[in-house]
Amino acid sequence: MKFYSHLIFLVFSAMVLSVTSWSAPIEVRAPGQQAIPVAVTSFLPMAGGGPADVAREFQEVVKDDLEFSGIFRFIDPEAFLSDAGRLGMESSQVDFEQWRLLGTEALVKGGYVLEGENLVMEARLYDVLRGRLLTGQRYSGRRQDVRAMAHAFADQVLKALTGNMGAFKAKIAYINDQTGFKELYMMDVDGNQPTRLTSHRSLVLNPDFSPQGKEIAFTSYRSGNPDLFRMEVYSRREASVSSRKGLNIAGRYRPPAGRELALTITEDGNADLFIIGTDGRVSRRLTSSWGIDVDPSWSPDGERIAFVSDRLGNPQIFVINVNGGKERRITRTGSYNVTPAWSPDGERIAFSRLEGGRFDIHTIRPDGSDERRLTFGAGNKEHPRWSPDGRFLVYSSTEKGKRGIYVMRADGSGSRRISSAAGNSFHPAWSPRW
Amino acid sequence: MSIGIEESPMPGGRLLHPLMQARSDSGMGRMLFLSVAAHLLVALLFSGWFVPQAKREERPVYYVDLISRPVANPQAGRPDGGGGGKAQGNPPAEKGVAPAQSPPARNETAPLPEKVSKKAETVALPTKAEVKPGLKSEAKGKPEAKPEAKAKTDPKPEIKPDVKAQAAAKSTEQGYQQVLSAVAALQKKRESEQQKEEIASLQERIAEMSRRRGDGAGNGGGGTGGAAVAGGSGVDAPLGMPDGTGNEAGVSSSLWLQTFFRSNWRLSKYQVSRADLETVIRIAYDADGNLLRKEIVKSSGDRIFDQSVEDAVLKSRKLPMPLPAPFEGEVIFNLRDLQQ
Repeated sequence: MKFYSHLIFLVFSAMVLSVTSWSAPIEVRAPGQQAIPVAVTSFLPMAGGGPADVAREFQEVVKDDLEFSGIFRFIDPEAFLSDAGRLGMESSQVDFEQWRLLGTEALVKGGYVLEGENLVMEARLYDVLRGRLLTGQRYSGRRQDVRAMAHAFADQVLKALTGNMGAFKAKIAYINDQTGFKELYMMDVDGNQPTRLTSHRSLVLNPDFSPQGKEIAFTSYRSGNPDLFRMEVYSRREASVSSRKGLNIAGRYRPPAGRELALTITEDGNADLFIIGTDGRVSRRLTSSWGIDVDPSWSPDGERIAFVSDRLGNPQIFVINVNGGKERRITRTGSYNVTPAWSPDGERIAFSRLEGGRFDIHTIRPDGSDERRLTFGAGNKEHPRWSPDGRFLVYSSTEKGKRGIYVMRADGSGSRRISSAAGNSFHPAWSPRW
Repeated sequence: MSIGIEESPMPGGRLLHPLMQARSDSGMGRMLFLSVAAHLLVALLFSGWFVPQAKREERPVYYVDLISRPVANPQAGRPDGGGGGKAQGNPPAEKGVAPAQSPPARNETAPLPEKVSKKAETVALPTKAEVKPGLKSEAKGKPEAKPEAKAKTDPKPEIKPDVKAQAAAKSTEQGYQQVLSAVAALQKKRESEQQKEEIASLQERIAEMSRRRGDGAGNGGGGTGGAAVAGGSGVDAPLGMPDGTGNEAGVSSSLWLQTFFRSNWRLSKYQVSRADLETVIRIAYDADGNLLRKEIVKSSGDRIFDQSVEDAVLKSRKLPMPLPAPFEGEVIFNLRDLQQ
């Protein structure tokens, strides 16, 4: 009996307490601040004088990459206090209080040694609030590698602040016609260091990087017929993979191993999808409809393919299970949907739609739901491809007249042109991290 | 009985049709069963089980100026002070204005309340406006983007230019004085609801302008604008809560804390890959506003998200205002108001 009275008392007092004080939980439904204030300081020479331009270049590349990610707000260097001019890179040597005063939450500091052509870069990212090191990297290489070092560090910064590695230290393959012929080129993700890879003096199209990144498949009319080739990027060695009569186009390496390719072959008179080994042997025929089936794009697990078919009268995106199963149409709106690209996380498929005489880029879930339009305004936006981290899309656009390569965030914001003005550039593909 | 089914806009109605025909040759019980089943089905269809993009529930969102005082028994009024903060005896303006809170503070007044009644329960913001403080710094050059809901009844057309982006600081100053006198003039003969609306909208305008004056230099401490607002005192809609029944000038502590945590919480939507993250953290403060304990009760599963929540609390080790009573409770952080 005594026990019960105690219990009743406890329950009663608990009720009273919960009523008098804070009963309902507080719910905060969105962050009040949606950009991280970051300070990127000029890197300082760790030994000797050394010219500062190498440090400036590093700083600029890091800033550009971080800006493009959309995560950050930059603290004006004019406001930097004395700590920005001090080399001290141990957590204990950084005066975090100064940075807190400026409202900084992430801090990039570093130093370098340049001896002749040999460059060493030490870069650090600090969490100012907690006063601790988030990531520290040491890069050594040649003077001309400074941009690659900066991209690599920007990738590390994203990893530290989002949990996922960035994809700035990568290449973009594309086609350009400045020589009078459409040839295969490659450049950094910010458009720097464009390099021509082929001299077929005919017509090269539709490059794709292997999942390991050091090999590119493309179609070339070099021998008169659109054949599928592959090229080892470092040695530039090429080999023909499929040179069947008719089209051998839009080859895409099968992830994750990259030992097979999906492509369109028209050998028997109709354009259908096939899977072939990298040695060129057909391992499977995927479609055999009367329509034209083109532009395959693998799901990241290599089990499904999104492709374009006009079997219902106009081009629409379909998804097929590679191991058998029915093709399923996923685009239900629009009468001209082409060039699907499956995102690296498997969640969305980007494609371009012709509507009102213009191509624009959209994304949709692989089950056909939740379609979103990403691009607006003048010009044709075509051939979207994802960055390997899924943060960005690279595509071609005619918004400034000639066709150029552009990049934007996966939500359609922050678009910028990266290719130079020389000739037309199109058919981009973003490599895995280089 | 069948009305609910026949009128249902969902495919469920059509689906059930053959079943409906069976109804005629069966008893009352069966009919009842069918009816219940059909209603359940309709309810299920609308419950969002089959419609993945179920509409998000709307609910009023109040934000307070953090210079408002959290109290135990707030009076009836507006949580953002309605411009009458000073008149209500709420002096400690210089005390607790965290410099980092300028974006949310600016957001509070951007969209005007459509209607400000005596109780003035409207500070609910359209979610769209509050979602983009990240873009704020770029958009700052054009403050005229303010909705002009009250333009039709505006009694003082000459103050209009002040809202324009091109207005120099000086004309803002003039306009500010003009609006002050306009408010004073209006106060003398305020009788109808219509005039109250006008006053309220002018107040909003003052708040906006004084904010602009306050942080014209840049990102700095925009929150101080609230102190200038207090100059326009003595108007209706005192500092309080829409549902307040007490007699203290101030806002409810939980609303105050909600606004405070929100303003301290920093996370970019590009840092997380999912929008359905939610972290529950248990926090205790003493009455002076000192953080006593924090503990994540339910993790979101995303390390970055959890850490941002912890950071928001860490930034709040000492509240800028004392609380009416010690606080211990759970705070839920999620991204429901973040547009994807």
